[in-house]
Amino acid sequence: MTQDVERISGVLRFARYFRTWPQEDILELAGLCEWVRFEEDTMMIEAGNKASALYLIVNGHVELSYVDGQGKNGVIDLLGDGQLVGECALVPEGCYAVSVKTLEATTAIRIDGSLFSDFLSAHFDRALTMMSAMTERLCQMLRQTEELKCRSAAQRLGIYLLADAVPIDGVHETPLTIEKSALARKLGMTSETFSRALKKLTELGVTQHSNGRIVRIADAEMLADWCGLSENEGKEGQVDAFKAVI
Amino acid sequence: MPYRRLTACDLDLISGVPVMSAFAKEEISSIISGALVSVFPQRELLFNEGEAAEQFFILLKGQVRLFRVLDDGRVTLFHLVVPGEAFAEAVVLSGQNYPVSAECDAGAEIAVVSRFQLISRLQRDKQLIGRMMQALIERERFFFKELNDLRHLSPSQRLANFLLSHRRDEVVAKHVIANRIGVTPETFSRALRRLEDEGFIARDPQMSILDFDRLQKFARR
Repeated sequence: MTQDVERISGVLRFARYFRTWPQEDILELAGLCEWVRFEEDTMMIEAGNKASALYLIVNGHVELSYVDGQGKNGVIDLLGDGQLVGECALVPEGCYAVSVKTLEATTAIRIDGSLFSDFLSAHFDRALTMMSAMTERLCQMLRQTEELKCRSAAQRLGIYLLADAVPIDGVHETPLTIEKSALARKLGMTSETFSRALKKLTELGVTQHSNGRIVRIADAEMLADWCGLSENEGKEGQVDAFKAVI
Repeated sequence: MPYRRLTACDLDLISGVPVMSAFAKEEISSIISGALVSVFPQRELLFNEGEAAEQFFILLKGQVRLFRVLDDGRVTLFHLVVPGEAFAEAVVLSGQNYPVSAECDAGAEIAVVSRFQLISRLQRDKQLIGRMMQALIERERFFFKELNDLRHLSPSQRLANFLLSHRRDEVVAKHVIANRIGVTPETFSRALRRLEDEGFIARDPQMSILDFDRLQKFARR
């Protein structure tokens, strides 16, 4: 662990949560941070523990899991570069609501919760932007619940693939940057359901290439229609529209 | 444009919106512009993409479309807002411009919160920021549980959880329960039959619980 205010502020400046902040505030925040590096399969945050810090993922993927009243653990999301976890640390005596485990070696910026909370109390406008980020996160979670309630596993997989698809030589291709089993958990399905969903999508022109690391979509518009996205959402170039519903 | 006064029903709906849940119901009236609800007799544009976000909105009745017009004239629909949902609150808090345009249908009823009013209120009471953050975090916990249940529990288990957590004297329509637990009416019928066949609940309209302990075990296994 090394403290490196300038390098940290360089990363914070481009993070979605802080990019509207003035430079002096970024530098002040960087002073409350430190680099942390976690090996693969390491618990960064444990649900129920006192929340002492927030983490901005700089490089790597982590899995969020919810522990129910009986102590059963269920994966609810997978997050990657630029995402912030552990906002509970902003509340006095707060406990982490979910566990966060690394799926691969992960570099993050650790922000001390209590110092950050004091910083926000002294910087009204920055507190507003943090609330804004938290509100946006809630909207995303609401959309995720809608997706789980309203769309089949194959439709959800189709939307995920469309969100990251890039047009190449008249078709669309999506690189799979994470293991299929992790992707299945992100989408809220078992590996078996994931395989069945992928098989179902082959009937709609979705094929795997480069040992499954690239997925090719023959007709993105047709797939978007089948996934239940509206006509306009399915238009080429409107990646954001797809991302908004995942 | 016609207005009407806020009702107790409106306040219930508004206090369920995450960004407003830190406020007591009596405080909400002082934050909603004029304590009035705007009633739109016809389809109307509420704001344009790129305008300064000076107000956010809570839809009480009808429907609102959030959309963007592309350079070539095509329209991209981003989200259909439904009653009980706020929109543009994140950009109002962060002081940005509206990233999309919004248009309501004829008959829509909307509560408007001005940025100025909200910010003034927050500046007068710094502790309120802490309460709002606390409320947002509480709401996040609710969604974590909801997402976990949807991902990991079968429809029968979700129905069992609903029945276990619900007051027995209150009859809830089956289609409402199906919607709440996120299943189609057909899946709901299969889930219900399973709980009846296992002897956990009675085959009556109230879905009375016959064996509380076994139902509880089933709900979480």
